[in-house]
Amino acid sequence: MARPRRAAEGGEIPEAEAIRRAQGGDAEAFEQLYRQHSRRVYSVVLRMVGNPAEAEDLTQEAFLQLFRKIHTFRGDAAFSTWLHRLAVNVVLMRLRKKALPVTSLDEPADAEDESSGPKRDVGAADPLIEGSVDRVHLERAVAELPPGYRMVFLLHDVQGYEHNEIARIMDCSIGNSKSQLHKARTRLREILKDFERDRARQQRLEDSEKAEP
Amino acid sequence: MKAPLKPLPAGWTLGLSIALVAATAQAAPGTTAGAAPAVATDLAAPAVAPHRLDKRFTVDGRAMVTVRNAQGAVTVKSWERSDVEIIATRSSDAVEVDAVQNGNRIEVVTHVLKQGVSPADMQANYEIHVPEETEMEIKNDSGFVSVAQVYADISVDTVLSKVELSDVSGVLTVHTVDGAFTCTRCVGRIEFSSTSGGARFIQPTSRSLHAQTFSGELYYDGTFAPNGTYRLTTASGAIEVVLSEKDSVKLTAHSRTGNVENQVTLKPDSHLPSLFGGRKENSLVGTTGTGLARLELTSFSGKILIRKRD
Amino acid sequence: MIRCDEFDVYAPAWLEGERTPEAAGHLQSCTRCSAKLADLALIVSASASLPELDPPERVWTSLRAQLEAEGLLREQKGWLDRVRELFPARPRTAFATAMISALAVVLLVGPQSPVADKTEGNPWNLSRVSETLASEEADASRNFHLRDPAVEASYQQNLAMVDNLIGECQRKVNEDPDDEMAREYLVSAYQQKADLLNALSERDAMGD
Repeated sequence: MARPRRAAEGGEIPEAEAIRRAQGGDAEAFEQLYRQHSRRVYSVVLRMVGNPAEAEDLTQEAFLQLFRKIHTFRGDAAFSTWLHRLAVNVVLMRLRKKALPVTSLDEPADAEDESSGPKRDVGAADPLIEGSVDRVHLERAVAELPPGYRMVFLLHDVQGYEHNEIARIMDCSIGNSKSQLHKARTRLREILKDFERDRARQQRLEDSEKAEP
Repeated sequence: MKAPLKPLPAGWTLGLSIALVAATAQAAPGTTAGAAPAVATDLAAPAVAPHRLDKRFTVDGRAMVTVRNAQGAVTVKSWERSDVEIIATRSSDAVEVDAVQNGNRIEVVTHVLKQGVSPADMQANYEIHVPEETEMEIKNDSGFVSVAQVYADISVDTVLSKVELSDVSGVLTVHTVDGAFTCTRCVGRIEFSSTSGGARFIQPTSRSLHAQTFSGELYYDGTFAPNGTYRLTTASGAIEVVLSEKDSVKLTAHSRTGNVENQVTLKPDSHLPSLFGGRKENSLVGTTGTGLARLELTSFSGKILIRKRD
Repeated sequence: MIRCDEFDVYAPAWLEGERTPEAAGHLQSCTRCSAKLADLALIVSASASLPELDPPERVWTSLRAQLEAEGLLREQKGWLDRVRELFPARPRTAFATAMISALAVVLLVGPQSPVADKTEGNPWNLSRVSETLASEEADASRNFHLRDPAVEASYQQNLAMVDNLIGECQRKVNEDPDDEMAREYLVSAYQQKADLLNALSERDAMGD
């Protein structure tokens, strides 16, 4: 189940009614739908493109497309799923224009696996991520994920969409969504450990500089 | 929800302009004194030539063009300019062609002005040039719709029109009642639905293609992207897909009472008992290559043919 | 005993709470996979707490301006408009659509659904829905007049074609209520019929 949206404020009408009124051009209904969904859309878009100005532009573009097409919404999917699908398309088109390698979901399943990292001794314990995962480091690590992994991770682990919903949003199979998510989490783990090693190395350097006469 | 027909926009249309001019014109020299100027009924067009409208709109950013037409040809092609150009011709003064700009949205509408108009008199044809990233939404009940080289979402809704999309890219949604659809070198998500119209997909590049019709025929000859989903569904219409052993496809084909004929070697090569009960000859499940794409062919009584690519 | 690379297949489900003996057995003896799983669980937990961020108000301001410029927004409706909306112009067509939804529930949920018509013994007998739609279609013939006879003829022919399919599927379902494919196509056909009637109604309303 996706993260619950902001609780309905006083004066808000049920979403189905807001959609119906928006289909008739009701400005208040438009605004309600925007207020209810813009935070989730913007959050995903910002974490995908990394640039606030661009994220604002793409969020506006996604909602513009939504409202231009709202008369075609037939209620055969959840409205938020439909909206996120539009937003994902807008983001992917922008990333493609930048000639970035996009959507590892297009690539064969083994294109980006963890075997590219250093091998570890079978049976030896890997050091745990120390204690807890720092939010700042986690955001940085997410930003380093390949776009395809990042999108699935954001939709599932951050926004709480189920795999069947992600399959509809991203036009992939449920199995594919699950495997990409696992790869995303595994990659995040590696990135976070790299941060720890860098931090530890930096600390040792500072300590040795202090120790020098 | 369809927008209601708009009232005549004041002072814009050529027909109305001519009416105003005609109504206030002096009688030309040499005319019979007392003869009324030619007014009212036959304003819009000269007696012999069809009316033509040529209008350009400057747009900024990603534009959208909507077209509402009852009968005729709607042809859309992109160009390198940042303008939208609408060239409209109509066959009689029983209809009026109208194009209005609202921000980045251009709305093109054919108004039928009289009751009891014959189909021939209702005809209006549009030739439209757009920047390549212009969204298109076209409703054209009968005639012909063609869109080429446009790279944005396209939706076409028709009853009888023949629809052709070529070299386009985006989310492509086509709905007909009886019109046939040809999709050539289209890229993106493709959705087709019809009651009795058929569709031909030629060299598409898509990760998501859903085509359904009741009695029309479906034909697919193209690539299959890894993790793509391709669903072709009919009730009684035939389905034909061209497949090669080099494609990477997991195939499920089932027709409740029609035959499933396969020319491609599949792993495992099997006619399984029907997934929904019935004869073995009606079902087929198998894989080519590593089976990364899903191809699902379903019919109630139509024939399904999986043809081997030459 | 499964290997570490085989455990990797079980790991996503384990994180969702699904426990299998094979996975549990492997975790008991493999510190490497235990450590990895603990790390992944930490990441999942931390990710759920990542904040959602509000876009600046200027996004809405700019969007609204664009929507207004494109004529997509209109004035707030008055109370009379709202009342009229309660009684749409084609209530019977809307009713047909509602019947289709009920039909879908019956066909896909099962005869235990309260909507199922059990009066004639066969829980899948859809005579009531069929009668409603037949009445709709009769109205269509009498009251809908489209400008283009070819378009009108197309609708009539297609309605007839869909009717044939409905009849065929209904016969199959009557013979075998467990025929899932026949049921699905029957729902689809009824939906198609309702769509055609709605489209006819819209075109007629527009004066097509």
